[in-house]
Amino acid sequence: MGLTETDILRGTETDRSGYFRITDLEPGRYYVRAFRLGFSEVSQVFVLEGNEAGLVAVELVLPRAVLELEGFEVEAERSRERTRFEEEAGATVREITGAELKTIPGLAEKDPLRAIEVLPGVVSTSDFTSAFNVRGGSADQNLILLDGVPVFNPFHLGGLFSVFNGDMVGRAELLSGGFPAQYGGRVSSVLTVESDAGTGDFGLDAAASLLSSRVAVGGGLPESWENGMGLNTARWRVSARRSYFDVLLGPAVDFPYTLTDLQGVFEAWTKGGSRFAISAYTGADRVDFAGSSSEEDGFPLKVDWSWGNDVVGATWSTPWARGGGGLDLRASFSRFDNGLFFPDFGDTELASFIDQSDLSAEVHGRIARRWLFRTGLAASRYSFDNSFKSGGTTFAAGSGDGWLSSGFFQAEYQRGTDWILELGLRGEQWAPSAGEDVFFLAPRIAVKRFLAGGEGAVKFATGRFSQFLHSVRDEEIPLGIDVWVLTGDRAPYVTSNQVQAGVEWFLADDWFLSVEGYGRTFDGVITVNQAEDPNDPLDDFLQGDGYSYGADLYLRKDGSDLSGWITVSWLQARRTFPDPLLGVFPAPENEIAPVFDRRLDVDLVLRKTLPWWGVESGLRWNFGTGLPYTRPLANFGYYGPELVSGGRLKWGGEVPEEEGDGPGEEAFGLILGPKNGERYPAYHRLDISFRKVFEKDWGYLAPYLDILNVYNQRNVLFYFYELEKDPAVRSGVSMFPVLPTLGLEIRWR
Amino acid sequence: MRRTSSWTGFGRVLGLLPLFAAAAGCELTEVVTEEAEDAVVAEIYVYIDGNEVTARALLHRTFTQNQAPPAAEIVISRPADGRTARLSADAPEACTFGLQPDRIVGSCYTAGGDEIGWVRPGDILEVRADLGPDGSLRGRTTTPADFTVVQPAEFGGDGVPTCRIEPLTNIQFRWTSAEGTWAYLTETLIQGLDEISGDSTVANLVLTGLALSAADTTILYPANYGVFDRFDLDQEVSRLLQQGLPGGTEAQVEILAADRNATNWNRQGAFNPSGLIRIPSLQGEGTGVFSAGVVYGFRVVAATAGSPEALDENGVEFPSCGPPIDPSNPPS
Repeated sequence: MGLTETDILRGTETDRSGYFRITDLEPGRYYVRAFRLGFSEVSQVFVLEGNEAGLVAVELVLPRAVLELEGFEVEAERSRERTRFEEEAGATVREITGAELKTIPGLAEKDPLRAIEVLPGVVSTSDFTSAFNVRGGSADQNLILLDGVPVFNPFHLGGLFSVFNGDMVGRAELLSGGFPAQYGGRVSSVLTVESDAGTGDFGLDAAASLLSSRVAVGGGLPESWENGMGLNTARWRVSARRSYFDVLLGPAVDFPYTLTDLQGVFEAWTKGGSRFAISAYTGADRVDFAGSSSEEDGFPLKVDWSWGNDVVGATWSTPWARGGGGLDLRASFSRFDNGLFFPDFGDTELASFIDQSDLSAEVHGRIARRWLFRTGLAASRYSFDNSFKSGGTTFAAGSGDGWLSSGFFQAEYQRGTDWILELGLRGEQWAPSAGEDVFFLAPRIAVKRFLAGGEGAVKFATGRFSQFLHSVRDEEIPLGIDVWVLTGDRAPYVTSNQVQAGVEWFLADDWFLSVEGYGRTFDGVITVNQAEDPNDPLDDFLQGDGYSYGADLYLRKDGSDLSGWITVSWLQARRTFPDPLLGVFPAPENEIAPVFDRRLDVDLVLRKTLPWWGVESGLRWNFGTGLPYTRPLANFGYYGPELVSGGRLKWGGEVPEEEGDGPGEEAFGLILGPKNGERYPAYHRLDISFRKVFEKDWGYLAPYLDILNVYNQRNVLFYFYELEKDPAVRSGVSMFPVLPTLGLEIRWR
Repeated sequence: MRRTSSWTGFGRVLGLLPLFAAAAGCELTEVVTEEAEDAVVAEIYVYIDGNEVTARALLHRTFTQNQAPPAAEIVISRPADGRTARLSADAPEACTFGLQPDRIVGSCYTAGGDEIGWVRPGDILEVRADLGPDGSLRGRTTTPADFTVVQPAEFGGDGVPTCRIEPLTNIQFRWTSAEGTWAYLTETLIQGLDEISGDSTVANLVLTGLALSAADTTILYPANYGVFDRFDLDQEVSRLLQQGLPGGTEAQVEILAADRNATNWNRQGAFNPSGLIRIPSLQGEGTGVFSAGVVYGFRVVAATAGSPEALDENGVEFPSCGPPIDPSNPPS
């Protein structure tokens, strides 16, 4: 917006419904221009009279048009960062766009969750998992939203890949701290993944990688349909993805694993300006060793194992007042289930299930000239059911449900480019089916003081956060599937007090710097009680607490030629739990460094269009100091009584019957050193990617090559201490070796 | 004899995922590391089987250059009345079938008869093992209460109590709850399967069943046995046993009410890539387990009613172990 058609006095970005606001304007005549990818630019003049109480409503309608893509994208990136800087005080938000995602090197495919690892404050404990930890929080303390709907276990193949198809991702935003009162449910971070609904014009994307093949189709509705339904415009996009490990590996080995995803999004705007959106996802992993040939192929058991998410959400947003106010209604459902069965043994099942249904309403608008507000109510129902049964006995089980009723009020005061003050209060009532009701009040306060004429700012935020569910997955195992439990009489709820302060600065037009320090407490975290009493249904989990503190630096450069960022994250995290492995009852408490306690983590991400044939390139270099592990001090032969032989003891292993039969089955017990008292060597890895777009009349072809771990660094996944050998040796396995992967994207339009 | 049982071998199912991760990575160069800490490992078990009480203590060492058999003075006591039993040094065969792998050198101490016959179900027991220069180990346990088997309800035979099961059917064993029990560990030694399957390795097959908690007092026989052996056992034999024992086979069954210490020592603790973590119940200069349990045993023959195999040496038919049960729909 400016005083003439060409100058830029102020800028902003609309929300998803197309609403925008620009504050603190002097009376006068202004030009407002609006532009968006896929639409023609539109400008309009308006006059702000001195007696209009500061409010003028301007409606702009953008006709569809083909726009120059590259230049537009770069400008939009700068705008979002700048808009957040100017309009938000507390939340620490970092974003990866769909375009950035395409040039961040990935494992076979572009994966938003793996890409999140390059953001400040984020730690990944292994190459083998897309799970991540933010600022000393556990992986289950990240709220992962697909178009606003929580996804419980957003991973395929035990965490190797995320469920998010890179082709369908518009952007991924990570709120790593200071999030305002409208966010609840998890205490560590909020990751929002927004689907790309396309432009409304028909288009078809197809791609093939070493992991899967995928296709996405999008378009709009015929004009007659739109008119018939009272719509101004509508667009939709659906995608499907399937792996083909089973096909590729078929000639060599029977590997009956498949992953499938089906995702869709639909958005429509009414002629009255309301927006309606539906987003849905269903995905499944399946390991099917149920065929009769499994034994011949070396796998002794018939296994039928499947797991996956089903997610659907609908949102209705409508304007309700001048100044950009509106009402948002949302309903959603999310479910994750996991079942492992053995067809030959009906007495065995490992099953895990959780679902969440939500209804919410939010109202936002303006209280006074400088005050904005957002308030809302929500009701959520959760239920879970886990069981591990075999041989007629139950090894572990739990089930229950609960209602979470919540309300929040968030107010923002902004005084031009001087101050922003955010005050929020969130109230939550948790009513579990087993256990006492909990009422939790969570105040949130944030303040930002702009400096240097609005080019820099200092910021501070503090708040309380709560969480009423846990995953009991052992984060020390690199691949795994979340098993969720609700809080109640068996598990406490998590509370977290958090404070953060920092500086943000636009050093030049295309440089942005952020330095932020933080401190967090975590009360009510749990771990599995390895010494639980089978007679006590309430001691399955051990309650603990923890804390973390650290600092994150983020330096970003935007530009059409070279762009990227560097992050430096320093973290100290601790957890305190009773230690049942000592065999002392009651178990003494033990403060440990959790497996994600990476003291220093550095990420460098660069994107550059190379001078040769317009090849787009990406580079990521990651350095992290060593993660903690528990070193064995000794091991010993393990014996057990054989009752049918009068209780005499027998070694639990098997000695090979003949020379050359291999080592036999070994049975050794360990005596451990201090829990997580040692650290693996530092981790570092360089990844690069190349992508070339061949423009065609009908669309484009884009082959790409990603190379992970270019210099083949042997980063340690595990050490194996074989102390029974003479001399004792330490071996181990590394994470990814150098790993090139190829793929091809095709777009028809 | 083929022993395939392990309490918690089922963890291998969950262990597949990290194994996959390991397989996808690369092996690191093997380096010699410092020698392990030298410590004594003691596995001390007291069993009450009817009126007979036996105590066994197998002592050995962690893997170091020092593999001298630990010498100990081991005393089990009942604090309630101060009664004590001192275990005597015995031949290794009295404690174990053999020390494996070869590097292990152990020592064995036992007590039986009147020496320790005063131990009763429900007793709180303590143990102290003085290891001389190796220090000492101490432990404590509560013996589970007594229990009785209620199904099979009747037994025949002159020696070992014996009942009869119809071939290729399942029955349900039931017993009374024993207070203080953390788990009922039950084993069966099945003989004669080799003649049916043609596989000599299953001539004497030992399988384990488990019922967790004092209140879990049922198990299907034989379908629920071998729960930890399903990755190892020949799948044809395994599937056959889901239907029942083939005719002509017979089996020994033992049911143990196990205490907290045995349960913790036998189940796998937290994940560590180097091996299994046992939760000890001996404290001091070393590690190990001190456990006391109550055992009940009987014999089962798989034979059709009226057949010669169903008769004892006096020509009297063994009583039925119980009504056949459909494994897919067991009684609750």
